[in-house]
Amino acid sequence: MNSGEITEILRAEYCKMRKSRSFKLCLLAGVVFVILHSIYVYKNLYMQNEQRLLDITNTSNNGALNTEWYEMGILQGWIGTEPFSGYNNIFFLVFPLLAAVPYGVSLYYEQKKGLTANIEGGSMRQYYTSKYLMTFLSGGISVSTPLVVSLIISACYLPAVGTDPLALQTMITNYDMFADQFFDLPVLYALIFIIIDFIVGGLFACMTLVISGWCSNGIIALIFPTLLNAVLTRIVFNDEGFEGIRSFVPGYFINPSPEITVCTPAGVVGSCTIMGLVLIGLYVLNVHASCSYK
Amino acid sequence: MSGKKIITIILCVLIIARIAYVNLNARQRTVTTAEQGKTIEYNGVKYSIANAVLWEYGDFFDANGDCAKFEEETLRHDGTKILVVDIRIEKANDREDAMIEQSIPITYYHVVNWYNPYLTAFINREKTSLKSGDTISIPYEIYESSLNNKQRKNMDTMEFRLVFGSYPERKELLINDYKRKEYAGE
Repeated sequence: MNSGEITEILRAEYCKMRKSRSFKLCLLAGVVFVILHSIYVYKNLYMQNEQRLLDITNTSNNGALNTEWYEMGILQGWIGTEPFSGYNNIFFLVFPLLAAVPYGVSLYYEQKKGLTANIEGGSMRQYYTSKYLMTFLSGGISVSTPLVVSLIISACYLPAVGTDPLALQTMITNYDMFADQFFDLPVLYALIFIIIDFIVGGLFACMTLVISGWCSNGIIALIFPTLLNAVLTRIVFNDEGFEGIRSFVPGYFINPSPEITVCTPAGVVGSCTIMGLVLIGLYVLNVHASCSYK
Repeated sequence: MSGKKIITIILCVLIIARIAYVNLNARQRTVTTAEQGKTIEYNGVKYSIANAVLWEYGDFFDANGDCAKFEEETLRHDGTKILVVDIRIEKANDREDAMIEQSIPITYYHVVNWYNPYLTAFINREKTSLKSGDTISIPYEIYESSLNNKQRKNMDTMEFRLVFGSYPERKELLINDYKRKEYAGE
C-alpha cells in the first residue's frame, strides 16, 4: 500500500466532505440553532437576573446589601447545560441525525451513481478507509461545532464561574458524572462533553455509512441512528431495572445535562469502544465483500 | 494575507478581548468563613455554633420519642443521618430591630439542604420568644443518596457549612467538630 496514494485519497475525500452541500447545511443549521438559543437565554434569563439585581440594589436602604442573588455562570448560557428552555432537549434528540446527514450516505449515493465502478480491488480498501475516516470526522464536526459556538457566545457575556448549588439553577447534582468539574471548573466540563459528543457523533455517522451499505435506501440509513437512539433511551432501557446497562447507552451520556443519573466514565469509554469495534468489524466485512465482488 | 484570513484574525482577537473583559469584570462575591466556635454577623444578628451532634436517622427518633410523628420511615434504613446544630444568637449592639434568619441552608460537597421547619419548631417549642444570647437547635437531614460512592465512605467525617447570604458577601459557619451519638436503647 502506497502511503502517497492513501494521502491523496484522504485529501480528495476531505475536499468532497468539506464542499458537500449537506455538510455546510448541517453546520449552518446547528449554528443558527445555538444563536437562537443564546438570544433566548440573554433576553429571558440573563436580563431578568440583571433586573433583579437592579431592583434589589435600588430598594436597599441600609447601605450594605445582603441578599439572595447569584451571578450567572458560563454553563447557564451554554446549550449543553441550560435546563429551562427546550433547546437542549431538541438538540440532543436530533443529535444522531445531525451527525448522519453531512456525509453518512455519501458512499451509498456514489455507489448508486456508479462512481465506484472504476475503483480497482487494491484501491477499494483505501477508498473505504478514507470514506469511513471522513464520515467519522464529518459527524463529529457537525455535532460539536454548535456546542463550541454556544460556549463561545456564552463566554462573551457570562463569566467562567461555576454554578452555585444554592442558586437551584441547574439539573446537575452532586453525584452526576464529572459533577466536581461542573461546579468548580465549568469550561473543562464543557470541553469534556464536547469531546465525548465529537466521538459519539462520529460513531453515529459511521453507523449510517454501514447501514447504507446493507439496505438499499438512503433515507432509512439516515434515520436509523436517531430511531435506534430514541428506542433504546425512551423504551427499552427506560425502566429502573436497567440501571447498570443504561450507563452504556449513548443517548444518556451525550447530554451534559442528563435527565437521570446513570452515566459513568467507564460506561462512556466502554460504549464508545464497543461501538467502535463493531463498526471496525463491519468495515472489514464491507471491504472484503467489495474486493471479492470485484 | 487574504481578506478572509484578516477578518478571521480580527474576529478572534475581538472575541478573546471580550471574554477577557467579561471575566476580569465579573461580580465577585466575598466569602467569609468562620471556624467552629467563632462568630459571624449577618443582617444585625451574630451567630455561632455552640454544639453539633451527628445521629443516625433512626437513632435520633428512637432517642427523641416525642418527635416520632416527624419521622419518615423510608429514611430509616437508607443511610440518612441527622445533624443537630445548636446555634447561639445575639443581636449586634446597634441593631435592635434585627431579625433572625428564617432559613439557614446547610451545604456539604455540592449538596444543599434546608431544615424541616415543623421538626425545628417542635424541638424549640419551649422557647416561645427568642432573646439575644439564646441557643436554638436545628436538625438537618443529611442524605447518603445525595453523595457519590467516594463521598459516602467519608460520611462520618464530612465538613458542613451553614450559609448566610449570597451577594455581595456570603458568610459561612464551618462545622467540622461534631459528636457522633447512637441510641443504645432503654
